Amino acid sequence: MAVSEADFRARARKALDDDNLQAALAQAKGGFVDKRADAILDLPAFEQLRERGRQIKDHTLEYLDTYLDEFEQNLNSAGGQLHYAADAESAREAVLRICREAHARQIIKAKTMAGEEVGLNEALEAEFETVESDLGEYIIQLAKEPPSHIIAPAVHKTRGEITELFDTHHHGRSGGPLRETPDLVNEARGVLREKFLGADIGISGANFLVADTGTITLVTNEGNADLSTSLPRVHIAIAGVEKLVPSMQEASSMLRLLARSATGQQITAYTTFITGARREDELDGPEELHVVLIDNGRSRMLGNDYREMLRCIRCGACMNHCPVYSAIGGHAYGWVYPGPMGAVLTPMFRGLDKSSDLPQACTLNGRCQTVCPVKIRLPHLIRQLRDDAFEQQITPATTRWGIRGWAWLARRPRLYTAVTGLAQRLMSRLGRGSVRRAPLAGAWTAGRDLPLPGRGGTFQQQWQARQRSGQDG
Amino acid sequence: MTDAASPTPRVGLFVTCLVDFFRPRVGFASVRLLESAGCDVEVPAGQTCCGQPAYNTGDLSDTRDIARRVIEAFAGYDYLVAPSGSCVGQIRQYPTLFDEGSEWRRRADELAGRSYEIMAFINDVLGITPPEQGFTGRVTYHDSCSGLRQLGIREQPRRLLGGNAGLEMVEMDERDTCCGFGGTFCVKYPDISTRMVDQKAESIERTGAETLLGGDLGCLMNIAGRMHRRGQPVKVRHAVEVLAGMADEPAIGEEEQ
Amino acid sequence: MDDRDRVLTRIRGSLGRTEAPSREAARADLSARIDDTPPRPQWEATRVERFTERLEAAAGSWAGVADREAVPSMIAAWLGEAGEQPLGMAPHPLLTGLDWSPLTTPQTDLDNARHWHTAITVGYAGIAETGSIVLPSGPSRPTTPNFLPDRHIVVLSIGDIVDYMESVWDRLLADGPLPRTVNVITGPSRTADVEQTLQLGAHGPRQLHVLLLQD
Ligand code: SF4
Repeated sequence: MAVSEADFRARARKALDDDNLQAALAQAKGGFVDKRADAILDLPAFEQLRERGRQIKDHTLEYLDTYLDEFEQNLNSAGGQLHYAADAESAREAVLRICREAHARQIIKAKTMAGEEVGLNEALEAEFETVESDLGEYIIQLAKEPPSHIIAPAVHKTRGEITELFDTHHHGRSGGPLRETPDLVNEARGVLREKFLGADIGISGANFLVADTGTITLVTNEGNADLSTSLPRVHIAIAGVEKLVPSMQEASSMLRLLARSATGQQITAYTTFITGARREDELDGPEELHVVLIDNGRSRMLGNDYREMLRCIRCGACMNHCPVYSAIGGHAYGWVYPGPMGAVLTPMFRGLDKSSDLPQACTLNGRCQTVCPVKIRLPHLIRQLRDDAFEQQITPATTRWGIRGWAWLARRPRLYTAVTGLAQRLMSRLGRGSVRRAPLAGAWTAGRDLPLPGRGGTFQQQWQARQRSGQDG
Repeated sequence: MTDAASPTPRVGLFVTCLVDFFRPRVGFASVRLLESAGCDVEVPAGQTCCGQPAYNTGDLSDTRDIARRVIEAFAGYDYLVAPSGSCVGQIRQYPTLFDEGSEWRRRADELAGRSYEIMAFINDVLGITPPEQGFTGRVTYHDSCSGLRQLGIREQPRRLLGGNAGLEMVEMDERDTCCGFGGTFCVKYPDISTRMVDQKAESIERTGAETLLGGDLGCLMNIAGRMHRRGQPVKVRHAVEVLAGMADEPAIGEEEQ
Repeated sequence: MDDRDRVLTRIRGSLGRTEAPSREAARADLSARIDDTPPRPQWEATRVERFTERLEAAAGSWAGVADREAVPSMIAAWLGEAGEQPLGMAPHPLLTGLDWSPLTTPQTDLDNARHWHTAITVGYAGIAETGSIVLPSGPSRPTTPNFLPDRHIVVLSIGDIVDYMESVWDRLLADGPLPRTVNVITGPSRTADVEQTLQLGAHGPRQLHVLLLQD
């Protein structure tokens, strides 16, 4: 991952000043929200479905060891092989080993967030020609950027930028006129078609893993995952251990949630269920199927106060409905998982000390929780991370002592009334109405005027005065 | 009132620290509104803040201390009522601060069960629509996030304000999007917060409303401050000012007479 | 300890046990948590009407065919003048047994599939809920023709349309383990990766046409 975790603020500032990015974000924002809202109209019982989704995931997590055993057994009997990876490095190693043993030269990849998480691309690119096949991923691969959204990785790119990238990489020219969307999509189709046909390895993620059949579920709209997993000789799927569901019945419910929440569809154009490698009587399909299951911190989450985050099905609805995400985009979050889910997952996977801004840069407005298909209490988890940061002294000392000092005062009502009364007196004399600048209020007045209190004293002072005069009279 | 034992509900007003400091008239409007709705209103001594700044900074031990004080201060009242969905949302979180089965947990649960945001209280608990206050003009309403999502407050303020025949309510686009206040968020991440409140100001501008009303002073000060900076001449008030017939006084950030 | 043992041990540790519960125990917990019938879309139209309505909503097209002998001429009519060659088909008995005389007989050699302009396949089932076609892989249903050509024509018997996806699993699993791949296809390939504008024909077929065969 090219992006560093440090300095969230600087990246956010840069994002706010980036006109191209802001234009792209403005375009994307309403689209995702409206599409999801429309898509759930066809399913009036959507709330019950969300509850079902949450129960299915909670249940599977509670019995994860049972289901992993079952999955492995069924995958094996369908001719697939399972590889566990305890951490990111061993995940990369497992994939590289399979590629080397298959004497791979060319690799075609469908989108995998688990792959992004373990830094698979850089490892592969060092040894093999590796091409992303999801159009969005392909665009950012050309731009040498990480994805900025888990569903729409190139959502931050404008058509102008994509034109420039394609002109440079496909035609060796630059500064050409803005190209139309069909033209760009068609060109990518042609370029990538050759890559599909030439690849000896196809790598994908997995949206769900079905225990009682040993099946991998993949959803795409482009059909790239299907070409990636049916043309090459070897298919490698990489996924987190939490992707399990008990059976195809539950997978069907989860797919209804996923499509509506992610892209506002009732179902994606291609929903694919892969069970093992090519059978003897078949004419096509990969000869080998490998599933790499990664832990990378998940088993720890299973046992701590963040277990419910493992319900996440990576739909992206939380970021689509997040006002902070829509102001700064995905890159500002500094790692592969942006938005509210990233504000929880990044500290989990990379360490809270390395991503301390993420749980803080949230207004706790709660909109994400209302759309999350598996009802993850994202604001609760984000706030809980603040407890951890405070306790582990990751929260800056100035903030900690500031809040403790204020709390000390708030526990002493008489003193509090006196101090706030005095402060209010001083403040009310800074000007009339509102001021553009005030001592100690620089962060507020950076973008806002400060409405001043009136000159009659605090409510408590005025109330007590009234009570007294009431009693006197 | 359905509770026959106390025909006149005894209400403890939780003023909130922001109202206490920045806009006392919201407190007086609340008292007037509750009294005219037939309540006995007191302002319990010993209240300061609900503890939300500490809670949202992760300082649980201080939050717990503050919670105990609020629980003590409001013992014995039929209801705790506050002109803020955000503070009531926080008070309803108090039980999570104490161990299950403990005495404080029991008291926190008990307080949470009788704590209400003022407009939800008048509409849902008392079932009253305040009398016409003769307010006229085009108004838009900002739903603060904690009220909206933690307490489900959406229709109540609109229903109560609907008692004013001359008040024309125009809803803004993206009305359930956060204004960027977020308590300490707005000063911790001023750049992001400013962009968010800017978008809110634009939504408000598109309504053509002369007045913005809302139920939480934090959000209202944030939006008022941004609109003032932008030179956007919209009057910003807490909705109880209109409901209590006090909308002729200076709006938030306006010069006092 | 290899990674498998390490991961499973950690998982069991986090779940507070040293051995995995039985599958029966797991299933019992699941049925205590959820009803048998999941919340699903409901509709008033007939099953076939719902199917065609959703198919069209997904930018697919369809036509009814009275009997299988009419399939080649229907296809010839749909393809029209322009660019119908080369034409390929899945080696499915329903197709290979037909008289293709209005057209040249479609190829079945998959090595050539990358050059096919149009592929004809036979659907295993249709899903009314979503207007989807179900294509499980097998000797008569290779996978690649579903994705490589520009146009994809699927012959589907009306009687094979079911209401919901769940019924497809019941049917397939009654015959044993699931096939290597089950493709559930809903309309042509699409992308919205350029400025969130929908564009058909990203990597897979640009058109999906369903011939609904009366039983
Ligand atoms: S946290 Fe919920 S809304 Fe966000 S990506 Fe995960 S499942 Fe989707």
